Amino acid sequence: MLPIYAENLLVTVTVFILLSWAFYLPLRGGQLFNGPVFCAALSGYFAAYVTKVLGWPVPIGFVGGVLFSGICSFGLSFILAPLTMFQMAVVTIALIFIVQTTFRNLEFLGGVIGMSGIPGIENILIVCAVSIVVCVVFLNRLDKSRWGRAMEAVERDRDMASAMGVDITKMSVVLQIVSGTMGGLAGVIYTFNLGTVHPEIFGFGQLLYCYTIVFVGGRDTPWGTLIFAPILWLIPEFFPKAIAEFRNVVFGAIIIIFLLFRPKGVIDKTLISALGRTFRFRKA
Amino acid sequence: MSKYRMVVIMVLTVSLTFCWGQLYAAPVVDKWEIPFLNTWTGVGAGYGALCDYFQKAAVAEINASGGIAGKPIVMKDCDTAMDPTRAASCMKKAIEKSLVILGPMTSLDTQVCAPIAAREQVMCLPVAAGVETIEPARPWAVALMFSNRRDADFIMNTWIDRNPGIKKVVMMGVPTIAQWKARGVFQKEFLEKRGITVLDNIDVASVAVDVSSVVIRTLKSEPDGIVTRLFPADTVRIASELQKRGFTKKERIFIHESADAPELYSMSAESGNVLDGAYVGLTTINYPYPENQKLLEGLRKQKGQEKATKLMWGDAFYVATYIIKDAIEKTGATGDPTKLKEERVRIKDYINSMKNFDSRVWGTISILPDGSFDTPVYIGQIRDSKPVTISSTSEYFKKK
Repeated sequence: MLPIYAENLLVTVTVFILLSWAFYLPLRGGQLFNGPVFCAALSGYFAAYVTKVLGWPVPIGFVGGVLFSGICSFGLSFILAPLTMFQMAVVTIALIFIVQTTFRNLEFLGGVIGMSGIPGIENILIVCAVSIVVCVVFLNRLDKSRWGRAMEAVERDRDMASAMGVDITKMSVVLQIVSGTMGGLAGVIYTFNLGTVHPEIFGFGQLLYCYTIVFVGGRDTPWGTLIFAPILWLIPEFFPKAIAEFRNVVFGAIIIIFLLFRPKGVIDKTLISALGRTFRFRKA
Repeated sequence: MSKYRMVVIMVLTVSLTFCWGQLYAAPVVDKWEIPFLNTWTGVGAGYGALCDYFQKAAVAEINASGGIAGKPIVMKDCDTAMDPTRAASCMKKAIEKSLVILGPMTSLDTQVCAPIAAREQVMCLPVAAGVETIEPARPWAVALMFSNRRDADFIMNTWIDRNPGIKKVVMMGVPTIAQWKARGVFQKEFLEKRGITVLDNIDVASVAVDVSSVVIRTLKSEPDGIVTRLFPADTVRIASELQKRGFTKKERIFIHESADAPELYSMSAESGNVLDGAYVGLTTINYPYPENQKLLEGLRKQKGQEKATKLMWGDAFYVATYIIKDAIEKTGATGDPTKLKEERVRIKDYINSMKNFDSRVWGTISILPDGSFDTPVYIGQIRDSKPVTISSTSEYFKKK
């Protein structure tokens, strides 16, 4: 059994990986969809309420929370699907604040105090590992599929992709549903690990952090997020206090540098292809 | 002998030697490492800096006088950044080997961290959290702040006793601060018990650009009294606007939350003593104890606190550090990792039964059954833009 601190680090890193993948997916399809944050809040609150107040078993609360966020993003997707990249970014940021304010004012959900004493998940590390594996396999397969190629086409030139027969609205709906569900998965894992849910937890800070991970790690493939989420989270954990206190400055500088000099992030398709060629060559 | 067998024997020998060494190595504890969970970055960094000053002052004093049971105290800082994720990480790091934990500082961090401490059975001393926040973690957490309910009982009843003409009240508060909202609920409860009607409860966004709409809405319902739970700047601006619009009976304004901030009074003075006559709920006053004065002199050397007239509530960290010293010494804790669990329980039991503890800055304090301490809080009235103390919870509850 791992020490509690190490276990917490792994679970937190898992949450950020899943949340960052939830941002990565619509970004691959040319959308700035910030839904994962409010979907994480919706799923977290749902799971917290049904387990703590209604007394449902934790596994049911877990699955219910994920499904609830999926259903919510399904409902919203029909409204948001036709929006342009910029419109979607603005609307979904507004939705984050709307959801936060709503939870702050719902007394039966704890209001500004939120809810604590939420039961935990047994074998949470196994849940995290399974979630990561399922998501990475899904994202990798999606990337290499017809859908993946269509997403790439939309990202490069929306109008051209539409002219080539890509149904952008349908793609947008699907991406939002999957992204919202992944955000919901991150939200329930986070809530059960922390044992507390609070309106301030799922907000702008999470949004910026996840975008840092995606833009630095790489927005071409899911592997960049998988590698850089732990690195960026662990920087303030293990750096000396004097440097760790400047983490926001460090993150800001990192994101600016990467956007200027390596806009696709550290790990992009070019790098992966080059690594693939190198290893194939060596094998031969 | 085959190479394989030699390797196996060597590995076994090394392993056994290591384990043997671990079993029989005498545990050496030459200092007390106490995790300190505070906010050095983020929105609460200003308060965190104050808390850091008070905690360091206590540590310096304790170490200068020989430490705890002859060993120095070393604080292991962890920045929660007012972020629940970081706070949980700090707490889970802290609970692995520590006897007791100082902090965290804010209500939200406490809400996340105190249940973790309770699950792992380590005592934590949060500072800014109310007793309602630590209740799920009892008895593994205590609240050094006075109970919000008892505070509301005292301040609302005392204020109404001095203003018998008040029959209708409007309340104003910042909607996003949980602790303040909780106090507002209790204040409303005690007002209604006195037969006072609360006409409206207005949410005022912190540092609102324009307060005239809030004031117009307030005056529209024709209240006899107003209770505010706002930041200093908003309090002064609203008072100015109320005065401009004809609400001049300042004794019918009760100011909570920002009453301990020196800038409330300096801004009032700059606005022509606009708050004079208003009542205030004070967490601390300028106690006459030598330690209090010494800390105040040190506080005035901190950036931004040059005009401090009394210690801010961050002095609770000073008191908490001394509580930890007292608990370790009186329970005979050794810091021996093999006795960690039993020593943690002894410290928990000791703190939960503390009576007449000399806090050095607040006088003697005792713990109450709900986990709060009977640290007195005060009601005052502003005169010449300075708070003048009128009564305290000690007097009030003695009469009751």
